[in-house]
Amino acid sequence: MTQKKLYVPTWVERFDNNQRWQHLLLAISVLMLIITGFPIKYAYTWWAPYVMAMFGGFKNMLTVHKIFAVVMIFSGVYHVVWLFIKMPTMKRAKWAIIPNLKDVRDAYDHGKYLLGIGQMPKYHRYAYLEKFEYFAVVWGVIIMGSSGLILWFPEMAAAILPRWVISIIRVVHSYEALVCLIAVAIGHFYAVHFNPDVFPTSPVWINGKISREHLKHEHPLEYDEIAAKNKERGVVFEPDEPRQLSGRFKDSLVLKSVLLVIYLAVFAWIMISFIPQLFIFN
Amino acid sequence: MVKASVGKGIVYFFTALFAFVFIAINLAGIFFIFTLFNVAFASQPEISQTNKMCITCHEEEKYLLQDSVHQKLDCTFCHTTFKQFPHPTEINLAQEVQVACQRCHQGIAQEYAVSIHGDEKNSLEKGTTCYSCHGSHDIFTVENPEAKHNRLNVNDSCIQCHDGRVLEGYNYSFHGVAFNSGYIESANCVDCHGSHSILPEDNPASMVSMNNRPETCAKCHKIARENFAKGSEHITPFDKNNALPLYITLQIFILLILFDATKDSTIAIFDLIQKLRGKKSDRHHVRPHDRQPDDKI
Repeated sequence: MTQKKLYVPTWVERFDNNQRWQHLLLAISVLMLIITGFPIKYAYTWWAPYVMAMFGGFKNMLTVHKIFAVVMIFSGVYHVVWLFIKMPTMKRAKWAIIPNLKDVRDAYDHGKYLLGIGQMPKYHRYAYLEKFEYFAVVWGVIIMGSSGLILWFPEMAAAILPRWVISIIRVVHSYEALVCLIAVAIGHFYAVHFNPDVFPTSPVWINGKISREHLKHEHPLEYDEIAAKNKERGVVFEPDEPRQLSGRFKDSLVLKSVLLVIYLAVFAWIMISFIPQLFIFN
Repeated sequence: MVKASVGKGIVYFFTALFAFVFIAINLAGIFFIFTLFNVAFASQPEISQTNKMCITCHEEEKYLLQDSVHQKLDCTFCHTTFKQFPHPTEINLAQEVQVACQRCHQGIAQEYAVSIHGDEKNSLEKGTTCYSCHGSHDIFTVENPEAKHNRLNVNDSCIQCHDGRVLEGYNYSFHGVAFNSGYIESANCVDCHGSHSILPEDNPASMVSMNNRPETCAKCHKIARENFAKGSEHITPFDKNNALPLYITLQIFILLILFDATKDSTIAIFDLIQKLRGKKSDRHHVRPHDRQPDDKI
């Protein structure tokens, strides 16, 4: 019974403390912006007045919205500043987020895997979906932040922009918010919360660490790279049992079935709601 | 010793109870006397001899009128032709009352006369008279939240006629959303259009004419920008004919929403199907009791 030598530690740090704070700031601000923003978009619905009442009326809710808008813009600006300071000193995964041709291949292979006619593609540090999500957030923060500022200070904006452009920007702010909500609530939450492999949550955003097994499965190429580097240096790790934070429900048939039903229903609901809007005009 | 102290306690208790009841009865008596005075000398609106005759039949109007600002007027002050019984049948009530209002409210009447609502054709044929917006018997001062021209209610007067596109556009606008959600400092109809001297957009004197729009906006948005005039209000993105740029933006974003939802949902749905097909997950999290002794990581 020979144990294979381990060149990768039990836990690998995926996001450092700084990055986790950035994520937390963004997550809290976006969540609060969604809660305080959608009652304005859907002010005509039955539930909107209840949410407004929770914040003490429309004006107070708008104030909360603006406060968290500042937090979100701050987190975006902070990220850029952090990138400029951090990038020159980064040793590992410096340019890993930049999309490349392999991502196109990965997307194709992943599609084949999803249809049941292929193997799961091997990802490096960031899977193509993770890169897509990152740049979706960049786009989202820029669009929502700038359009929100224009709506916040219409007099300043009117120094440059005519009224009809500001009207367009209000539509953009309103519907980009919906794009953002769908991307977060369906795409991102499936990847890191509802996916049976990590349900109820992936621990990466809390402690920044990814377990050896998780890394090997989700990012095999990164795993190989770390292993090769440590092998070169002669660093060996003891095999031990990582404490499980997630993955307890990975074989739960109930969870998978319930999630499948919910996702099918949500998908159908969005399609039924929005496809007719393409053809409605008066 | 113990018994004696208990006896004392009872005495104290009843003394306190008696004092309390005594004070309570006295206070009640004083309040009762005050109430009597109040009832006896309360100011009752005096009902004139003429009005007493009217309300023998028109009892409902008595109650409508008694809280209004016109409570001291005679009925016949406004209903000038109803001085005898039976009442004349061939009368134009609108015109008659309109004239009656102008007897006191002369300044306003002059403003109103040149407005689009005071136009002879509109006011008599479409009925855009004083009482369309102010009510008839139940007229209150503007500060009264029950008044029809109070900030809270004034939009309701306008939408009696101006519904459809105008109303939809206002309800879609941020002003409308804020106002309808209870933020009444937000702009309502009269903030931009004025009240008695409302004029159509193409009239240069109108508050919403191209020249005056920047100043009108600057009532709230402190700096008057010429750009405030370059665009239209009362539009929704669903309005293809009047708001094509908004309509195109909306379509682009709906396509983006459909793409986003389709991408995210189908990945999740097919991933779940694949996970349901595989009997056991070969995934990363190996639980202690799953692991074999010679398992290699």
